[in-house]
Amino acid sequence: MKRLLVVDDEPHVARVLRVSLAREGWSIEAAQDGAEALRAIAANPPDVMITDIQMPGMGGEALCHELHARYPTRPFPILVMTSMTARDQRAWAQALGGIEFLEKPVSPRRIAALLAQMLSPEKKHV
Amino acid sequence: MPPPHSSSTDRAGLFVLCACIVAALLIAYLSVRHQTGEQSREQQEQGTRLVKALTAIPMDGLSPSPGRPNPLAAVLRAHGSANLAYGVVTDAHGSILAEVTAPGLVPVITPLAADRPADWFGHGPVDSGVAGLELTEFHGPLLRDGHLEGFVRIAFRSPSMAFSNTQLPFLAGLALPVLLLVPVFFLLLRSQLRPLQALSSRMENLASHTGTDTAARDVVSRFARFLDATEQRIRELEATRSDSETSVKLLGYKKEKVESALETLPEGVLVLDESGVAVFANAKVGPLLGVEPASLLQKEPAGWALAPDILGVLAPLVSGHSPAHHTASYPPGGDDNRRVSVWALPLFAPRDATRRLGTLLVLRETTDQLLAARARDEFIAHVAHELKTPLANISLYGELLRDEPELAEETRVDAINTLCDEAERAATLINNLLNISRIEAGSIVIDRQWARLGDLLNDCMAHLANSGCAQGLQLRVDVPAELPPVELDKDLLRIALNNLLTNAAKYNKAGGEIILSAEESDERIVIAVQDSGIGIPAADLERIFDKFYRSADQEAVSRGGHGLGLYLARQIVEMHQGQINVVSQPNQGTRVSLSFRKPHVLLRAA
Repeated sequence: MKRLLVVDDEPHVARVLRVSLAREGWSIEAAQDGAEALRAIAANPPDVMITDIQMPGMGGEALCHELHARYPTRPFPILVMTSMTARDQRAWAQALGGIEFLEKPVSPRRIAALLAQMLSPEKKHV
Repeated sequence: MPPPHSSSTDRAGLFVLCACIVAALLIAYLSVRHQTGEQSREQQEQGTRLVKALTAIPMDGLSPSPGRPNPLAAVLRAHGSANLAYGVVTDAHGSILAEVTAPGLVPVITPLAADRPADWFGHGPVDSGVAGLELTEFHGPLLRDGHLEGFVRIAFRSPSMAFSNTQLPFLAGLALPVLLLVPVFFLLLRSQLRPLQALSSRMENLASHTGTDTAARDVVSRFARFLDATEQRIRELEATRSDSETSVKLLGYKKEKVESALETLPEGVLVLDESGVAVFANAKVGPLLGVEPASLLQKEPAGWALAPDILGVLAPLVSGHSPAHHTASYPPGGDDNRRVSVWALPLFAPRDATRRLGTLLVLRETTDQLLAARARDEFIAHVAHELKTPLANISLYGELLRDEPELAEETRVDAINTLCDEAERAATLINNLLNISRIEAGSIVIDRQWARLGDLLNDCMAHLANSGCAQGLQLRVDVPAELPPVELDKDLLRIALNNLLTNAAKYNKAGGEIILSAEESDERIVIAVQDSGIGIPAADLERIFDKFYRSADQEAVSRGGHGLGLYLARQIVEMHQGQINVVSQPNQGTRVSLSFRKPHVLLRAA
């Protein structure tokens, strides 16, 4: 069973994905901010992480930098959800590498397709 | 051609010569006469003194006696005088008792009047008996015990006008230079007068229209033209000088006016001449460039002691002679939260757009614009984010319902409820944005109407109950029955109260309560919304009324919100000249109160 970690201060994305990705064989974990996500990853790294950018406490950008520092050879890809214009965020994401963007509003089907693509053998470790 | 009137010059010269000789003789005569007068005066003093001295001697002392042949002669010799003619002593009747006489003189002694004592002392001319010789006699009485015994009579030769041998060289010395100067003066006079005579004679010729002397007429007309031209030129120069003075004063006045205007401008103004040298800088340039304005003058930009980054911005603006306008900006003092904008404008001659006079630099602090632009960008980003968040959730749940027909009933109800909540959230946000925009633009004018607070508060609470966000909460309205009608804008107050009630529900605890109350004091009416929710951390209390402010509190964040509700409520309360206050205990609840002054209080205050 593949594990997906959803980091978002609002519960809706995790709640919907938990329903719509169940048939695809995903188990969904949720974290409300970066700090909680780090704890979850330290305990058990997921196969993919989806994170929001704007969150109280540690936001998505800080979380990605922290992960890059802690795990230079991070074994899982990251999908960044943002309601901001994604272009503003490209610079730091490209510097870190292995990060895809997903602009809100997100569709569960689109997320499923992206996840499948990211985990396919030729696209692993983007 | 010899001057035709030279004989008159000669006559004049002769006349001058004669006049000089007469003057010389007159001087000589006056000199001698003055000398003679001096001698007469001296002789009179001497005679008077001698007679007085002799009358003091007794008559016996002056008369001859055996052993003393002639005492008078001894006395007169002792007083020695070259001009003494004679000296005699007579008795009262005129008989001569003693006599001293100058050689060659035979004096005629006439008796004096012995019966007139007033005539005893005296002097006067007497006959000398020799032709051409005048004598002056001095006489005095000889007295014994107050009785007249005789007379003493002394005579001198009167001084004459004749030249003596001693005076002659002096007079000749006086006359000689005068006589020598005469011909010199004459020659000088003659040479000086000749051109004037020539001019005069030609003028006379012209005046008499003889027509023979054309050369002279030419000279005169040329001279006249020269005089006219010179006068004209002098007048022109005078006029030019006067004009120049006026222009200088006018220019000075205009310059002062222009400089005063440039100093009054709110912008910094810097003027460079055509060679790029600063010729004017107003005082406002100083703080904008961080240097004394005077330190820029008479220097090119390369010589200005500016911070390198400022110089780097200014230098391209003032270099080159492109007529295009340029603008740039820099953070003064490296402060990225401030901005100064610079405009470089070419200055052209007023009636010749091809002739460049220099460059005008205008500096203005545009920090306000910078901050406004930043705030606008932040606002737009924030609103976009806040609008996208409920839309994202609607889209998410909408797709879930569409794509998963086999959903569990619990999940389906949950999804539909979330859809409704998020749609409500988006609508509230849009309404609040519109209301805030109208209030800030001043396009909402408060429209006060008499209203019964009880009805209004019950309405608002019913709206909350129907919205579905207050499920499971106890809602209570607590309004005294005797509360008088109040005058306020019901629509605006309803917006404020709905926002407060929505917050009270959103940040409440399961099974909590919301009390909407109103109370009245002498001066005020206070409406309060009290909840039993999670409360607001003390650190946030000061800022919760700021636009878009959201607490960082985890619990609060998890419950959504867009940071506009309390801001809008405060705006509405302040439009009613009321006050909004908040009291909160974390994990106990929050009370937001709106306090309005009663109408009579407002009237009294007005």
